[in-house]
Amino acid sequence: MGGAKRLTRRGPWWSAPVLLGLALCLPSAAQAEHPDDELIKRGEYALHAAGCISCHTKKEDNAPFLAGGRAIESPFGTFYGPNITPDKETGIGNWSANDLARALTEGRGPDGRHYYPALPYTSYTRMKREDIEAIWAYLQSIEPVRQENKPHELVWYARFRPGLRFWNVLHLRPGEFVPRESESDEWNRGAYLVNAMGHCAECHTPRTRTGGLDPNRLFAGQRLGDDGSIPNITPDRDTGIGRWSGRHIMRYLDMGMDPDGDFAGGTMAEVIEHGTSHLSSEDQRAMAVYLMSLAPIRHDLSVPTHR
Amino acid sequence: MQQAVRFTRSIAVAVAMTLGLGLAATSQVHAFDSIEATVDYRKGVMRAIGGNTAALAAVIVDGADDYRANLAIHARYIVDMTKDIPALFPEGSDFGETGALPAVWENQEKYAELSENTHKAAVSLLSAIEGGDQDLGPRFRELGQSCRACHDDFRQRD
Repeated sequence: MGGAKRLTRRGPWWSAPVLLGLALCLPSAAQAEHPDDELIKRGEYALHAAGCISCHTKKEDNAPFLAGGRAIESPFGTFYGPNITPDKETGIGNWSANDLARALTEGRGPDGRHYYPALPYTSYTRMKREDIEAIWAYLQSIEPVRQENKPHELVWYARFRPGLRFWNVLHLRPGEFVPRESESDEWNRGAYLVNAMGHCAECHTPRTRTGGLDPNRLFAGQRLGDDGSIPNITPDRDTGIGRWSGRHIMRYLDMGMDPDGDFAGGTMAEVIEHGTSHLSSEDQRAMAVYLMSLAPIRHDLSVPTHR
Repeated sequence: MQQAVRFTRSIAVAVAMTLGLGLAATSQVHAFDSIEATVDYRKGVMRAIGGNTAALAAVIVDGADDYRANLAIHARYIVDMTKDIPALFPEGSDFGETGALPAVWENQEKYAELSENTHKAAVSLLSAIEGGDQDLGPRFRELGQSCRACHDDFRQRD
């Protein structure tokens, strides 16, 4: 207090306006330095909506953000999510926005090699260019982390990457999301979030023998052998979520609580933690509106009540 | 005569053996039943915690304000029953119709820590309710987050 008084008494008469002027200039100077702040913020939001974090960040306390190493189990072996921080040697520091777009929409690396569909490019191919560019801006803004990628550990017949070209002929239908004119903006936003960004169908749909999504049972859940099952999220009253209201779905996306007061666990807890809980309530509502509009599919997965 | 004695003795031995085996079997059934009962109890408590949580959400998040006076009852149940969650998972209760993952018994320290977080979140919600706090949303959220954090690693997916 005394110090402040002294400063006031000693400072020349013009110091206050000049200091005030400087202070007023500072924010705009900072804005000029980072014209992309808005874009980066949108990118961070889109990154949550697209659920990138849980596969690209190791599952342990204080794991370096987006630096990869997360093990993803599959019937074809274990995939390890790669480093997507802007580190030039071990991350994607040498990529361009086009490289990211190609990875997400075509499943190809900058060198042309095929990525495995553990990266859900069959869904991301519907992503809008503006969202990809926003994600790109955000990914460039984060801390680069030097961490070598861990090679996937796959069964022998899955190791031949060029074989994925044939898989793509069967299962990749490239192209940005096209809104349906007959539906509301909210429905279309929900369809975009569920299909292009959230890639919900990738887990909530049974797969065919060739590993594609079963087109007749989209969102109807799938069994996982001994590991239980992934629920049917079509509005079927007996085997799906037909008894849930929009409010229930929104609350589930927001905090993971189902209508019985039970909380999501396992992979879905992570999807909520790093993904859907970060979305605005308008977007959560749009997802609910879309999911409730799906045709109900009866697909009994006989999920026991786990406690 | 001697034959009759031998016959009686073998009958006696057979009866004794049957009884003995039967007793052993009965006590095994009891042991099995008691573990089943433990799992049933745990599931009942967890469902009740869920039921109370759903009731809290209906009032705090969705505005079923007629039942505001009951909030403390629901929160207190959760406070009481989360005091020692690991006690609901004794050694040997890891089979049968349980959704608990082996991690509960393999990583007891982390499990105890996450359980404690849930208890603390419930205590904090209850004290906010008793203090007349009108904005209970954030504390309810924290409670939910603590449930999810634990289910993430310690319960089978569903």
